[in-house]
Amino acid sequence: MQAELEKRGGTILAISVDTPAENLQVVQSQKLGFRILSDQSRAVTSSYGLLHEGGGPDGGDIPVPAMLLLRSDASVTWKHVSKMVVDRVDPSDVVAAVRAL
Amino acid sequence: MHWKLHWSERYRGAMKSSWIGLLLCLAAPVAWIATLDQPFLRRTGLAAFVLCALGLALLWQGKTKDGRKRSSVMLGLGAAVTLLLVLGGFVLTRLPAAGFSQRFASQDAKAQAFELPDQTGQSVALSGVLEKGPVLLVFYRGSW
Repeated sequence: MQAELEKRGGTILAISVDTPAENLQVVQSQKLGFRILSDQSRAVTSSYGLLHEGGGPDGGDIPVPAMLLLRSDASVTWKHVSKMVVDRVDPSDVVAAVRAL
Repeated sequence: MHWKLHWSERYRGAMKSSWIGLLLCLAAPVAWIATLDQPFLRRTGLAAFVLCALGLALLWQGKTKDGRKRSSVMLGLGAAVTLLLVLGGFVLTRLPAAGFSQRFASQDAKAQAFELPDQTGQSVALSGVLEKGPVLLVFYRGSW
């Protein structure tokens, strides 16, 4: 997925509401080849319509899992949002969307 | 003597199907968790509901054959597990995705600009990354 995207000059950006230190731990332990941005204030998550109020383990506000594929002009060419907790995107769908860029 | 023996055997057979039925219902949530890697089974919970259906059928059979209160209670338990699975799988775990769907409903919807710190504390602006090419934004629930 990442290779297909990078072939086209693309970048993966993950967004969590954890602290940069927590994200650093995830990047290191999972050996991730992309950056995780920290949206602790939830401002970006809210502006994307993805805030799940009280959805966290301790009643905190956390994002609804979602992916957006953006062209260089910020237009959204493909998107997926989870409607259920166990709902996750099929990686082959993302690869197909990237190939169609 | 004879009728007593007859009845106790009849009870035993009925209780056996009740127990197996209850076990199948209790195994259903485990089956759902075990099949989370299969997109179709994860979405539908099919493995779990097949087990529930079999379990409830056996519990019903046990109840009609046995007729004692115990088998009715067991049937009730099996039904409760099934109901919890339906609630847990399709109602309680529903996510508020409507806001996102509305926001990006139109074909020419654009992603809002933002600037956030990455895991090293370095500030990253979406506009800057987009200059290099397309971007896959991944919102996830975080780690705990």
